[in-house]
Amino acid sequence: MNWRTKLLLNRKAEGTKLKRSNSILGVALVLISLTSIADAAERAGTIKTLKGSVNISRVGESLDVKVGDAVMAGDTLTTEALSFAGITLRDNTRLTAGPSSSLVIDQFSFDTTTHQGRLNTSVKKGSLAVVSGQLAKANPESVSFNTGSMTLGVRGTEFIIEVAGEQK
Amino acid sequence: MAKAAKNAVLTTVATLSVSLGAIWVPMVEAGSYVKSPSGVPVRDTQGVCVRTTYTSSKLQPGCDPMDRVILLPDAEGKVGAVIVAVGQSSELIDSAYGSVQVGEAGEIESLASSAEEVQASFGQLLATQPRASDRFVVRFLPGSATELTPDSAVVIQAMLDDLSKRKAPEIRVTGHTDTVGSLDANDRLSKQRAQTVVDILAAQGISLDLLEAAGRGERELAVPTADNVDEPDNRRVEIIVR
Repeated sequence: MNWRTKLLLNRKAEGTKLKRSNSILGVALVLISLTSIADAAERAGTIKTLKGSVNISRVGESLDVKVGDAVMAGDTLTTEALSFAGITLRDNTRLTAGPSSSLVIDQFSFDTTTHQGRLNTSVKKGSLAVVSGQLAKANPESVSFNTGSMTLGVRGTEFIIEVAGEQK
Repeated sequence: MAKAAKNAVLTTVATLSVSLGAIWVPMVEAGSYVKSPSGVPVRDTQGVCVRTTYTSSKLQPGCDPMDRVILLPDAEGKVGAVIVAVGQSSELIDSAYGSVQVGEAGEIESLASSAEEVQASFGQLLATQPRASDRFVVRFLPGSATELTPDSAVVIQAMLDDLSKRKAPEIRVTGHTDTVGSLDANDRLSKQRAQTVVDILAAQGISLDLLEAAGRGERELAVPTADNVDEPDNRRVEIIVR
């Protein structure tokens, strides 16, 4: 068969499959979308690396942090002297906090289908190494970092933010 | 304002001499801390910057607490860009180790850092970064959302090896389609393809807690095409391990 016939057959095959899948997958798809909505509303990322003493303040509660713990939108992460914490967010953004640092995930949302969403982070003091992820790649305007004195717009991809904080 | 102006003058003639006031001192450095010939602050055994015999009003990167941003090259050596706004001013950084800092008077200052200074000041921070995500691509037999091409077994084995090297790993499985059919239909088809791969990974013993399925439909073509083009390389599923 020539390429044109092949093309038509393939197109037909995809169409047939779709009609079938509409009814069969209906229930399964509802379940999948429910799961991802719940995730998007809560979890921003996960603690992947840790050295020393690090804690997260969440809705007024202070939690000791270990590798694998969730990081939620609204969390304040604080590291003690000689301590470090590395977070990978759901859009593959990597945030690593240095010693005596304080970091707030002000806002996080990420749609895994469209890659639209929002990441706003405040660095109150200390240091933060950033490798931007899928949010900044899809839409640079959706990612910002704030220190009391500076506002950063990200056009990719790797940088370090240093903040004097109150000691200045 | 006068102080800011003085700082600006100091910056330009720093290598020649001046300290504050009218006293001219023949100096190599205008900062309060000792620097190596390559410009990296010299530190004592505690990691604290070694002071010179006088005090400069000029903030010195790596030693004085300050607000600054340093742009780094990525793993492939490519350099992106960051726009830093301070009050009404803003500055674009787009060169490797380019840096912007907030000066003593709150003014924005451009001052290049270097690989050496970043390593001295932030080496341990950079070494603590989480492992970068890795991407594995599997493809489907023509017209199928359930049958992978034979070479996919090798790809999945490589993915499992990658997974075993990670702490607290997570996996997002993202389906993609070619541009044949409507956006909605392709969204559904891409999710169906992702679910097929999630089932395969679950059957390999990967916990469902680590797995997330997503469908990008025809939004991210591996091979750019016009609408309604049959393209096997676009009918794929990407497994991103992070």
